[in-house]
Amino acid sequence: MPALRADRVRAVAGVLVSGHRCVLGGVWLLFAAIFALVGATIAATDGITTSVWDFASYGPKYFLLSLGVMLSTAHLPAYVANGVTRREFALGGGLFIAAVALVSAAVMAAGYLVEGLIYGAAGLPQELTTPHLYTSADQIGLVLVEFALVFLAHLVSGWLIGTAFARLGWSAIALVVPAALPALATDLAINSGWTPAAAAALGWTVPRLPAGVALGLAVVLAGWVATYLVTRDMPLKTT
Amino acid sequence: MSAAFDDSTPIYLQIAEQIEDQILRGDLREGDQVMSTNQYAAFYRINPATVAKGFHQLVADGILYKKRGIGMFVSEGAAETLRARRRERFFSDVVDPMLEEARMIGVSPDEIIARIRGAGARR
Amino acid sequence: MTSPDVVARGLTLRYGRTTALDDVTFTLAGGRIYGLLGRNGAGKTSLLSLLAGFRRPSGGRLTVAGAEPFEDPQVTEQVALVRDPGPLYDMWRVSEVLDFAARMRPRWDAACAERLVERFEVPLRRRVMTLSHGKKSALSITVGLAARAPITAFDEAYLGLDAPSRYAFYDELLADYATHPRTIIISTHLIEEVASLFEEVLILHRGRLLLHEDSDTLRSRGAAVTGPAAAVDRFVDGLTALGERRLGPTKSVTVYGELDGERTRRARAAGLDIDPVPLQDLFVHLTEDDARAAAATGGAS
Repeated sequence: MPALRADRVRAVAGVLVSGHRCVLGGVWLLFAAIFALVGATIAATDGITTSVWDFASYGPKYFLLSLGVMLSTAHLPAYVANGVTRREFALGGGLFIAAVALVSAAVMAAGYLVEGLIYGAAGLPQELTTPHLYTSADQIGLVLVEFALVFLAHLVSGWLIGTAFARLGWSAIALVVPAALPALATDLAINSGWTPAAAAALGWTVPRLPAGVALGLAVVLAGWVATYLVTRDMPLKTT
Repeated sequence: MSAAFDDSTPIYLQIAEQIEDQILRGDLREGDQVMSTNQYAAFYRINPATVAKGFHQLVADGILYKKRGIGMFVSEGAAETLRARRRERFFSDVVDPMLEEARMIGVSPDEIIARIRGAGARR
Repeated sequence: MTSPDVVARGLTLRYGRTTALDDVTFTLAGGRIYGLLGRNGAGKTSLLSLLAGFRRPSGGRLTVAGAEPFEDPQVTEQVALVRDPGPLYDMWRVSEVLDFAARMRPRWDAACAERLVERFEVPLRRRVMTLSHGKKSALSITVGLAARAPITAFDEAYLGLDAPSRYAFYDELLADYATHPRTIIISTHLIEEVASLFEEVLILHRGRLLLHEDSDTLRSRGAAVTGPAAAVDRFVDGLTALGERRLGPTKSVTVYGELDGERTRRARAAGLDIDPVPLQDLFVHLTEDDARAAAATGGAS
């Protein structure tokens, strides 16, 4: 007896996506608006010479982490109650977070482009102050790769943490660090954000680009597999 | 629980009795179609299988017959069959208990006969 | 569409040290309306959650058409468990909840769902978190009925409804059962209202199956013998007594077991009243005391 059906996996992914449309759209608009406001304020008061959008990914990263947590705590019971198996949910959920990560990465790239246009019109240099895979904001390919990976990693970490708590209750606290691994490891592997400073402080050498991306992908995949394994025979509460 | 039925006898027998009463009163005539099991069940808020049991009892007794794909109908001579059966039971089920009650409260058979005669005269 | 049989053999479920279900065995033929009765904590919810694939049994087997429910999509898509009020997304609108169920349930009947929300007066545009408990229950029931799952179970799902809505539920349930016969399991302790809907009754008591009987047969097994105390005692000697009440010289004993015509005539001759016992009273008596219950039903099956 097959434990999952392709049509149902697609249905799960589809419903998750359409169910989150408003939330995700709203959240990104909010972040974009905040950054536009911050940027405008700084420009008016101090004057900017560097990219503001550079810092835009921190908020969304952690928002996506919490979205991942909700997958197993809020969504899994509703799907199982409607006849879906946990395996189908784990796979459909995987498709869902991949879609979310890609779309969010696209928003980041678009944000850079818009900022570039605004800065260009104002004659300002769009200088990046934090380390990334890319060296300038118009390297769209690298922007997309970096953020897709980072966002995916945070979604997976959140999902894994949420599942651990749903299954084990508060004793899952002990598993928070291992579950956060995908997020941490990916940041490290592609040497973005805060990691170069940490790496330098600890004396680690950071891997080169293709190896880093491959490592990041591997870690994300491992995180998703761990979630699948923990979900597939998880008993559901009936109280 | 529907107010139309009580716990004294199985519900399916009460349903059968109801239909028998309708036939005896003339509300249901020979050849008439009886309400379907689902209609009965919906009306009284009871399980259709219970209604079906009642109907089958009546079919077994020759009171109703089934026309495949259409429904249940009252058999020819159903009224007469029922009257004969009720007549048989009349004395044991109605008269004897009445006499027992009369004895308990001190009503003499003569008083009963006088009353019956009086009722007969008024009819 | 024929509903599959549900078979339990030695079914056991344990939560840590508590035994929720203990060696339960039964066969539910498809397409009937079953009443699952039991006191709080008797194991009704545990049994239904096993059927819906929420967890795995600790021992024994539960199968639907031969397959075990846990993580088997062939089974889980045929089972719909309606709880009170069940998992509903607080932020969603009623219409979105129905759309979600429509995507997940292959036999979903949208016209039926529309009709039901109207009948139960659940506003389509409102968000779930703004609904009262009763309306949430009505929504869960709507989803359960419109899903047309071959095995549909209501776990005390209608207890949050007011009386008019409950009667609407019984009517809708019967009407839907008539047009789309399937296996329906109603777990409840509001027995008298629904007793006439059951074709068969299962009684769980402290995790064990006390009895599994045709409704009419079960009803006929109870009798209240009332009269002068001494005469009553003589009459019920040798029968299984479930309970008794006294009022001065009069005594009333509830017995369990078949009373044939001969016995009944003797009772009446001795000046005793033999009255039927409503299903609810029978249930109360049978689940009052373990020893009596075991004696009455010959122990759990």
